[in-house]
Amino acid sequence: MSSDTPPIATPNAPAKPAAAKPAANAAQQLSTAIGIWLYLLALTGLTVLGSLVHFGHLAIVVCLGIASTKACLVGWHFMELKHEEPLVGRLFVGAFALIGILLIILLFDVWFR
Amino acid sequence: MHQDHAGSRFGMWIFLLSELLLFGALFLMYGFYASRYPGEFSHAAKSLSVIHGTTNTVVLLTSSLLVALAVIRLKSGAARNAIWNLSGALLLALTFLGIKAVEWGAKFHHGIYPGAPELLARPKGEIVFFNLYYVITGLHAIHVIIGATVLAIVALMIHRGRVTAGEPTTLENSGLYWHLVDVIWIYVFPLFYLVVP
Repeated sequence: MSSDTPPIATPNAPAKPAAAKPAANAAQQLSTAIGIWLYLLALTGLTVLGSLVHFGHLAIVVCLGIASTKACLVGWHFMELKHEEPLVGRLFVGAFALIGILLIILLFDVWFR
Repeated sequence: MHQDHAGSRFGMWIFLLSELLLFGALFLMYGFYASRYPGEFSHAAKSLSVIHGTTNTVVLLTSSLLVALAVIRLKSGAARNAIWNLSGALLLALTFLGIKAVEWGAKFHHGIYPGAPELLARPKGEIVFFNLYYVITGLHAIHVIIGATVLAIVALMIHRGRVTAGEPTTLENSGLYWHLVDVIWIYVFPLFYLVVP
């Protein structure tokens, strides 16, 4: 028999890979979560350092931009929006968009009244 | 007993969205007054400790990581590790509240709290800033207390075998709530401690 011949499947044969797969999957998820946490810490550092630079009126845009990136990372990975129904994601984005639109309208009202 | 996991999770998301809009309205109020009294907001914001705010941000982000790890570990069958992760998150929640108490205590000591004569003698913009500071961080702290209590109960449920790898929805929903508390703080931190209009 050639060494290239695939192993014959037996009822017991898949047991080991099947048991190992969730463990490997969990290990991958754990390392991804830790990676996201490191990104979040780096972005927090960037926010603090950015506050030391004088951006003028753009400061609020920079800060809220970084904060929104962090919120997306938490939502997408930690809250597992990536595995949710698309409707949930749309609702989440819709709520943020509503607050954003109201903020823009409000600021225009204050600045140009 | 039959449980509708998808329905339970969707219901949790709807609740979280209502929480998001609650804080969103407060952030809009902040935006209105910050643009109306930019100088006074700037002066008042400088009196807050960036070190305390940054430390609390790191503490909450780390607690969020631990809750995410707890969900992964419970689902992979490592219930004991999940309990350890939740215990760590609880410890960090208490740390957050401790730092917040120190921060508030220092402000109270200097006579800066709603209705205090010292605060009322200041310009109107500063009074508004500190009132918003106490309302938003106070409401957020109440959410931290509720979230920490729920996580403690879920840890106990895991210990008693009532929340398992096959039935993780209770932990998942509690985790969602905790992450939302984190997301809200992600916005509170730069608005009060860093952005000086």
